[in-house]
Amino acid sequence: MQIISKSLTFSYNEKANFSRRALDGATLTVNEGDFFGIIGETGSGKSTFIQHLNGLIPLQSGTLTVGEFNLTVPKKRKEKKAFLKSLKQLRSKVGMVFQYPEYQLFAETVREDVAFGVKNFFPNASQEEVDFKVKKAIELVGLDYNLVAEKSPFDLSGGQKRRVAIAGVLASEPETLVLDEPVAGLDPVSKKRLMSLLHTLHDTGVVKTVIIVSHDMNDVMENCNRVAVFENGKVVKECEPKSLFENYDDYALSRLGLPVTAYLTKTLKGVGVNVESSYKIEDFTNKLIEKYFENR
Amino acid sequence: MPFFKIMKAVELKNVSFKYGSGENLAVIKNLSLSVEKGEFLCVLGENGSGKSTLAKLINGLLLPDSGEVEVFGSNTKDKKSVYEVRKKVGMVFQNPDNQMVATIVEDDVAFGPENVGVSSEEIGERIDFALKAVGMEKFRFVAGQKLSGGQKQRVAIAGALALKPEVLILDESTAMLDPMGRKEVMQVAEKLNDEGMTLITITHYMKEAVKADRVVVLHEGEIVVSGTPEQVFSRPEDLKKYGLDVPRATYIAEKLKKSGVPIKSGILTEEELGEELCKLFQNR
Repeated sequence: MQIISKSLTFSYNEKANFSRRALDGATLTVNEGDFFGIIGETGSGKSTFIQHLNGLIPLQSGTLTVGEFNLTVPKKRKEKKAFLKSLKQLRSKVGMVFQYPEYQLFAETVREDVAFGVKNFFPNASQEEVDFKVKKAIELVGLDYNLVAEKSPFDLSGGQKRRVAIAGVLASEPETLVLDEPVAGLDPVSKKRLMSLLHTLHDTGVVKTVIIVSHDMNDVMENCNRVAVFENGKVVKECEPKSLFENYDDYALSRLGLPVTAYLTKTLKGVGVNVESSYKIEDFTNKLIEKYFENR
Repeated sequence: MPFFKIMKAVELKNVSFKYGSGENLAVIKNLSLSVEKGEFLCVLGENGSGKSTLAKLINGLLLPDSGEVEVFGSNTKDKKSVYEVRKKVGMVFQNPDNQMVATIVEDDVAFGPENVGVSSEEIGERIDFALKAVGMEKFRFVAGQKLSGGQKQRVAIAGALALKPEVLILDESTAMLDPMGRKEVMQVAEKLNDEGMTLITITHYMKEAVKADRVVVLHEGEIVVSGTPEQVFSRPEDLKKYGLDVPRATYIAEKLKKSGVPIKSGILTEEELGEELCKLFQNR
């Protein structure tokens, strides 16, 4: 599904005199197959934007289409009713993983927690089908079904809990997965594992599009093929991470920092040495080595 | 205790702790650790390694099942001194939105001292001092919800400072912040430490550990690695075993070295690495 937003504008408490525009004309296209990064300072509109993608926040002005869904709220009562009903279908297609999703785990066992999502989206499924889908979702996030299914989700490690929460979202078989700061609060190894899990889901076509909101520029550089910068409710830039971080003379970027590879490229440029930055830190290191031993 | 002995800020002796009862649930196992006055200690460890439990043991929110925890000589088990201990140990947690108790910044900072019965004149002075220390004096009359995440955490630190603590514990206080917010909070913490505050930080950002005087790594409730940042980050294999990693700059520097580039050892920050690389390429 392609996501196209044009001039999306949104204010919380629209009619109150202290209302503030959280989104102020955000225009952005996410293509099917993207591993898309959304960056920006706190309060720049990132979260408000992603909550539009599955209709959690109703459109105020501007247009937004997600695949064949047009998210403009119809004015006529009857059409509005049908629209609201269709949102459920949209929500099964756009899986939303919020910040610290493990706080939303509630059931007594991992199996029951994931089954909640399945039953919600497939109310007509037989018990067998539910069991099958639950098992599949748990295995998709790299957990051993036999080992964790009957455990309390609260007895798992931080990284595992987060996987269970993601399994609950995958249970609805979404095409697009939206994750708000998926690795915040995880230790470095769990962080790497979770990122590589997202790539596996993406590469094997379990989900077609992944959108992550991140405050870690290294994560964006190392994982995303496209990135959008939010500032004051607008998308001020949308491009490949590499070209974004190479043109760092930008207010928003100076406050968000640079990934280490782009930082070193910039520093070396200052003394007349050109080493192109890379997505992967390993590739960049190899380039440095090559450059150092060149023409000796 | 003989009066001439130099007092440790925090001293844990053979501390064990577990939540509830059961055999394999020990979170802290026979752990001993002491922190000097004025030291900056960073605690690293994978999720579930016992870091936050350790922090809560230090200010008496949790009491050890066995062993002793002392803060400037006061034992947390001693009912008479536990409030003294809590006054001495200020804590700031992860989520900036969960730590505001009042609507206006000033009232939020005043909450602590009001509770322990500080006179209103002195409360005013303490608010001045605390907000100044975190660089938030201009926001004294601003509503809390209008602040950014980094600003909220700085107000939370001010709230802790208003109780004039001797030790400040930041338990993943930067985890939910954007890069600018993280920087703000760490700068304030380092400044306070420079002025003599004993600082204990718990973090998953390897970058934040490099400025500490000492780093300890927790694994399954035990200290498995301890030393200066240079010493700790020179053991990447060990760190990986415990769910951690070296800072990216260190990773690049070590790889360059292995390939024969004559780069110096012990590089921890991007700035150091950048500087060193410039030198290397210019003298090539």
